[in-house]
Amino acid sequence: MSSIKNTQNKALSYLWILLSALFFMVVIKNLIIDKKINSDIASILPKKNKEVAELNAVVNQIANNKLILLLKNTNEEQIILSAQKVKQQLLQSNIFNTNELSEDSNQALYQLLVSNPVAFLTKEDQVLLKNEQYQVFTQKRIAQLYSPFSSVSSQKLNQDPLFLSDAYFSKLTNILTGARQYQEFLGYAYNQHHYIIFNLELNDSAFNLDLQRHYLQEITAIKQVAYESGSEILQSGVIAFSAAETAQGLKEAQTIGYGSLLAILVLISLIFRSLIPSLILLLVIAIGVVSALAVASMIFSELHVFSILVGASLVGIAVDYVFHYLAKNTEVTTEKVIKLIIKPISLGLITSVFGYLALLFSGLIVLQQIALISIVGLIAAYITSLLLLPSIGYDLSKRHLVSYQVFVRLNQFITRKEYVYLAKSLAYLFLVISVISILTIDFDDRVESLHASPQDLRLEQQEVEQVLSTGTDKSTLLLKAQSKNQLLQNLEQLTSQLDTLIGQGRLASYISLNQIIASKQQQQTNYQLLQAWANSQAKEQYASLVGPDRLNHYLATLNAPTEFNKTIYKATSLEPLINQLLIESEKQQFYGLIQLQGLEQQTAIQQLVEANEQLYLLDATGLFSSFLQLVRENSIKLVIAAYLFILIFLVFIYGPKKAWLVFLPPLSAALLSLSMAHMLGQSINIFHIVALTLVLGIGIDYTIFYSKTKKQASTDTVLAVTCSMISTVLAFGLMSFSQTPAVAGFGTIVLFGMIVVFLLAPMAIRSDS
Amino acid sequence: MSLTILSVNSSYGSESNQLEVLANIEQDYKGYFVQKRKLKIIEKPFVSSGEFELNSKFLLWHIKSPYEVIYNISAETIEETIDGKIKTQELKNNPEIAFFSQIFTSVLKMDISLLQENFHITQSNMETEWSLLLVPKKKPLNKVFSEIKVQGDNKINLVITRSLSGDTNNIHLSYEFN
Repeated sequence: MSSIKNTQNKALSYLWILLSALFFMVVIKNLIIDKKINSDIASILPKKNKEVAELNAVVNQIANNKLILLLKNTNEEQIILSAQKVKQQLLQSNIFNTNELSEDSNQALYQLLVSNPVAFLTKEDQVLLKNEQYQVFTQKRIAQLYSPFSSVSSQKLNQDPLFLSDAYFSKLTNILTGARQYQEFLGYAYNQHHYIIFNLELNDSAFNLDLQRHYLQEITAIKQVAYESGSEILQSGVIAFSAAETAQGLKEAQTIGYGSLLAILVLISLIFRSLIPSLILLLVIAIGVVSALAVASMIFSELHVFSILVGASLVGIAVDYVFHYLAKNTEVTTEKVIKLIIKPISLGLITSVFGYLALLFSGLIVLQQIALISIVGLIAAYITSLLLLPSIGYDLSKRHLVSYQVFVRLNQFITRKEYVYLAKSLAYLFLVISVISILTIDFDDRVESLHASPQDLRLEQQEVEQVLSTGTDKSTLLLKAQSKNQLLQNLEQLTSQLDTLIGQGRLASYISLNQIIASKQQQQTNYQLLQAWANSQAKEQYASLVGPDRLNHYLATLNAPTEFNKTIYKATSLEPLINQLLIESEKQQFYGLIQLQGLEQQTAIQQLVEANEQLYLLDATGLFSSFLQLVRENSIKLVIAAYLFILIFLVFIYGPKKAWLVFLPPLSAALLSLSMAHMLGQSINIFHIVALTLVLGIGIDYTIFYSKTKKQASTDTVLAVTCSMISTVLAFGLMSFSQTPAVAGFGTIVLFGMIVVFLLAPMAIRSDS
Repeated sequence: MSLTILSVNSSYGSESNQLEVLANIEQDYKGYFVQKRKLKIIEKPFVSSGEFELNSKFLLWHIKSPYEVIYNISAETIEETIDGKIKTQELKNNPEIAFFSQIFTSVLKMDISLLQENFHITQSNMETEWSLLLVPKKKPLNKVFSEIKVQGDNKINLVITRSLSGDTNNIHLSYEFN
């Protein structure tokens, strides 16, 4: 009988190995070759709402893929030389699309303005003409003729005798916030320094890991080129931060990851006096993770990096199965181990699966992926533990564990009445303290508080903002229209409302496309206004100064309205700005971006947004933060649901009294760790919540194992639980030292949670017989 | 009112000859001006006159004839008063006006370092009167002016700008206490 069962087991083991190998290949194919991994944070956003998704694409286009590099030098000639070298370096790069300016982009722009003055009448002149203040309009022109500071010339007077383009041009440079030309480059003189700006566009998302790696190489090379020619480079853009943070994250993951892996190997090897248990542990977790990723990558078209990281972490719960196996193996031979541990570890698995099942119904893809990965991973690890571990041929029962005595004594200590009583009291005390403390938690869902931006990059960004006069108080409005002309018309309407806000002191200024060119309707109005002036007395006065023939000829050639065409701005100094202010989507949708500066309160703008269906207040980080809030709120609900599910399940298995004893330690530990993180001054976010699931998942295993043991007969359980606690704390708890708040938050919960649940779990030990 | 003679290097042409120009010309002064702007395409010159005042803080250019316009240029702003209405503009937002007014004041103040940065300078007539010929070195000046001529003794008496298109602007300055 036994040999038949053995053969059956062997066959199953081989089958499982084969399946694991298959999973491994699926992972290689899907995730490594086909790269079905998504690292774009924005793509986590719920796609249910089409409008949001569409806006999000627009947001991405604006914010994520843009990069501003500022070259800085005190010497003007040197900075131009540096800029030429940097430009060469940029042209060699294949991650940027560079927008080239013409040799004399301001001249190119001037020619454009001169060619169609009705399209470029300043608001100020429009108002003067509309109010029939022809005399004032004329005097402004005359003043130009006599001013020693004007650049009046014969050529100018021939081309544009009313200096309309001049007026407009100075308004434009006003919009360009003091930009000036440094040969073929656009730049700024600020605070005794010269700055040359490079407006770059990435050819992929700033969250693409490959691109981030390339970016770091490119920027190092660019900085080197600038440095060699005596200049400095300042970066501002999502990519600068995302690349640096990813690099920092990887560096940390390497130090924390390798550090904790090494510590686990050393400690476990010391306890078991062998390296093999650590290797077994790695094998089980690896098969679990590989199977989970294989299955998930077959079900979902793309796996998000976020789900992979969190999901794989949760598979870590499976350490319990391994340690339980190994610990039991210290007391009985391998053949008997499975029989003895199958019940508690199955129960552990079922409770965990129950917990994560709730996430599957969250309706949020990321959470579903996390749930699927952890469920499949745990099941695979469970099967591996049951099938493969006995057939490995490693038998601890035949070895003499020196450290075993330590656990015998530890067991004696924790099963003492006094200890169990203390644990119970503490569990209730922690519960009360935590509930009180947690009630005061303010959740922080701001995406910026999840990651730590390097200080030097923040300083660079600040300087860029100062030079470009774009403060952090900047908000952006987005206006949608079906045609460019419609967009311009709608923008004209909107900006007249914004002018009112400026008049009321509720807004400092704005930049909008319609400041660059008028809609066809406005052009027609401008034309009529100028014709009305042409019929006035004031015009005759001016004509006598500049020559009636010249002026009449000019007025006669004023052309009809023209459609706005982006390409005519190519190579002019306005091109970068237009690219910032107008977005044409593939579906023939046009979006105008209105950059608001010095917005006093959002309410006035929000009222505008609410009243206009085509108008949106754009806030890329805000959009993501509100998504994080959504995920966090859902996760809290789901974690609570998971805890309740598990409690009900335990009541069903154990009856209410014992179920409570099994349930209380992880609950108390989880809540205490949350309030500890809160008391440590951490802002609580989604990552804390996700870590609570881990504490529950592992913690409940401890109490389930303990509840299976009668007093004084559970040294192997103590051994298993201790090993599990140590390895979990080492694997995740060390994350609490991370520079990245999100990672640190996760680590803090696991660190406190695991230690507390380890201390409290003995209260579940059976005290009846 | 002493004259200080300063030696500076000129980079004009290929040879690097020694050039002596006036420095420390009076920094605070006021007087009268007559400006004749002659555009090539218009026969009659635009003649204006009025008062000006220059000191370390501002340049006041008060045109009294033929129309009253007042310009007050400080380091940060330019104020234009037409018909009693004052319009103030930040110079940082008007780089062109900022640049031309900066050049104009640097000529009136004989700000050597700023002039040398922007012009090749040649000097002649080292008696009681001197004159400087300024030829713009770089953009945007060299796209507008072919040369600027300055004459004076211990004050500036005449500034003539000549544009590439052949327009000229003669500014005669005279002083109350001379």
